Order: sequence, then C-alpha cells, then structure tokens
Amino acid sequence: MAEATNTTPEEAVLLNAYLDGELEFSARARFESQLAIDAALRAERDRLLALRQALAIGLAKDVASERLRNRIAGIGAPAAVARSAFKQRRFEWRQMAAAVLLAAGLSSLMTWQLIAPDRSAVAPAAIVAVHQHALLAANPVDVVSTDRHTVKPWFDSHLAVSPPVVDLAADGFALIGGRIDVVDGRSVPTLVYRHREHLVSLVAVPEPGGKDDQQTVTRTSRDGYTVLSWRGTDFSFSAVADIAPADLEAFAARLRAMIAAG
Amino acid sequence: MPHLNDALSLARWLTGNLADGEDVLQEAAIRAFTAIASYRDGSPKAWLLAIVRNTAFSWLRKNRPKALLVTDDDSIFEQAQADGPLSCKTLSPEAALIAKADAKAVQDAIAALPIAYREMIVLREIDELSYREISDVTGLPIGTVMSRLSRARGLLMQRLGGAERKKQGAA
Repeated sequence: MAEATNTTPEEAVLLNAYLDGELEFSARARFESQLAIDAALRAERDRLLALRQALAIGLAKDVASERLRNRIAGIGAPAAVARSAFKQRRFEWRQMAAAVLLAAGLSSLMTWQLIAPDRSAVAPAAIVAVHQHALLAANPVDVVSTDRHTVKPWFDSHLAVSPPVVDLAADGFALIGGRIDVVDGRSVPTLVYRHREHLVSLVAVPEPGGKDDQQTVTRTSRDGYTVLSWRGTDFSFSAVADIAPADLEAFAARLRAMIAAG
Repeated sequence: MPHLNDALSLARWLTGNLADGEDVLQEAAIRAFTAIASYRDGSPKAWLLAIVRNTAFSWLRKNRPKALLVTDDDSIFEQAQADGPLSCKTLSPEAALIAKADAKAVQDAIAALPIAYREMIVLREIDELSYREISDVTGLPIGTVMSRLSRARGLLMQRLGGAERKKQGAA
C-alpha cells in the first residue's frame, strides 16, 4: 500500500460512489480536489470508466419473451386471488399504489383485475397496446369496409363470433373496417372507426352470457389514450383513441344506444 | 413494463441462466401477488426486486447449494488480490483492454463473480438502482453495499484487464 500507484479500498469505494453520483455536494467537491492531485486515483477512475463502457456494451437487460409475459399474466389471471385479497384486507393507499405499479410491471392484465375485479376482464393497457400496434402497422384494419354487412360476416367466418356492428358516420365516426386483435392470449374482433384524422378502435371481447351493464362505463387514460370500457350483451367492449375524452364518451354513448336499439 | 425485465435480469444472473431465471421469476410473481399487503412504502421496483432476490436465493439453496457457499467478501477479495494485484498497474493499456472487452468476456466475467458481488453488479448496472435501493433489496447496510460494489467492479476490471497474465506480486 506504500506504492504511489496504489489505491486503497477506501479510496476505491469513494471513487465508485463519486462515479455513481452518490456523493453529496460537499463530499463530491472534496473528492474532486483529491482527484486533481492524485494521479493513481485518476488512473483508477479511467479503469472504472473503461469498465462502465464495457458493461454498457456487453451487459444488456434481459427482455421477457411474450411467452413469459403471458405466463406471468396468467398468474394474476385467476381473479379470485385478487378478489379474495381485496375482501379480506383493508389496503392503505400506498399499498394500492404499489399494487398498481407492481401489476403494471408484471402484467398489464393484472392491473385491471386488482382495481376492478368484478368488471371487465380486459386491462386498458392491453387495449391501448393493440390500438398502438394497429396504428404502427401498415394497415390498421384486416378487412376494409364501410359496410357493416361486410364486416360482420367477415368476423363470423374468421373468428366464429359476431359482434354487433353499427355505423356511426352520421355522428362523425365512420366505420372503416375491422381487424383481429390478440388480447390476453385470445383472438378478439376489433372494429375501427375514423373520427376526423384519428382512429378509434372498438375491441369486443366475447363473454358468452354476459349481461348488458348499462350503468357502468369505466374511463382510463394511458399514454395519452383514453380507454372506455363497459359490458354489453355477450361482449365486453373497450373503445380507445387519442381523441378528447368527451368525444370518445359521445361515441360510446351513441354506440350503446344503437346496439341497444338493435 | 420496465420492472418485468429488471426482475428477469436479476433472476437470470442470480440463477445463472435464462431458463432458471424465468422459473424463479414466475415463482416470485406468485409471491408478489400474494404479498402485496406487505408493501409499505419506498420504491416499488426495489420491493419487487427484493422478492425476486429472496425467491432466487431459496431456489439456489434447493437447486444449486454450491453457488451459495462462498459469500464472505473479505476472504474472496484478499484471494483475488493475491491472484492479480490491483497495484502494479500499467494503467493506460489495461484501461484500454477493459474498454475493449467484448460482450462474451464481460458476461463470462460477471458469471464468474461470487454471487455476493454478482448481485451488486446486476442491481446497479442493469437494474440501475441507487445505493439506497440496493440496500433495501438486499437488506445489507449501505456501507456494505458500497464496499461490495467497489470490490465487484475491481474483480471485473482485474479479469477484463488481463490481470491473469501479469503476476508481479502484490507486495
């Protein structure tokens, strides 16, 4: 340790903390003045910076595969877990916030079930994701048609489900077609409407036997998108778009009225 | 979904491979979902990573007990110093060697670290936690976090800097 080129373990710890931005202002200033006069310390700093560079190149964060994401989503999927937990315990808001963040991290699907286990089973994040994906795709629709009598049979032949299809062109939301999305590992029909320069995706998750719940429309915002979700007869609907929430609500209200009227 | 990848990276590096890391992460997810009530405050990411870490160590105890044998940092560090001195440096060329280390060499060097050091590197360099958060995740005092992280980097630099072939003695 007598050698001028040595760096003591204590100095190394300080140097690491300095490079990690973990030194407070005064300690930082002291350390920098020592660094200025200590060549060995500067050499050690250069080695650490070299290591940092090597790690940045050689050490990438693992990315969870779709398969793993789905498996973890499945862990949260038995809604009974979330529901029983919520009935048994009183949650402080911080725990609630943690639950939301955790679920957002682990599984976007879980978020929804923790917050509202008895409502729609589809997470707004999943809805936003499929909508964003469609916007990035070459074509946001698989079947291009403004005619609901074309779109409805198309779904019937591709998915063996037949969601209600209504055209709301008169209300400023023109039907432009439909596509098949994968939400929570299920293939579901999605209708696409155009509102001025924006697209609205209406995801219809089949829920055979589901009852129309006229009272409850849930509104969520995420990444600048608004998601409205409600339960209809045999389908859970989610509408998503980056338009004014009030406009999307008008769309949803009109849509529900039209569907109810048959 | 940043936390999922952070958690997976930790599980993968603690267990030693991606497949085992995925299994550990799934187990940790189950624990996390049933233990949400235990969350009080602080960083949710650190809370989640602490669960992943505990799960990984349980898994290692059961499946790779040898991986946990060596955890005494002082003895390892002294051994490492004897093997390849931190002193006696021809610094610029060594720094250049470290900087040029390829991905495989970097990953091998990390994999070769004793687990007590490896987790420091992963928590700091991949999961980008602060010292405080690393302390929360591992339950170690912050001073221990600092010295272990410093030593972990020292070991990596030795290995990547080609300390193996320069045994000029530590005295």
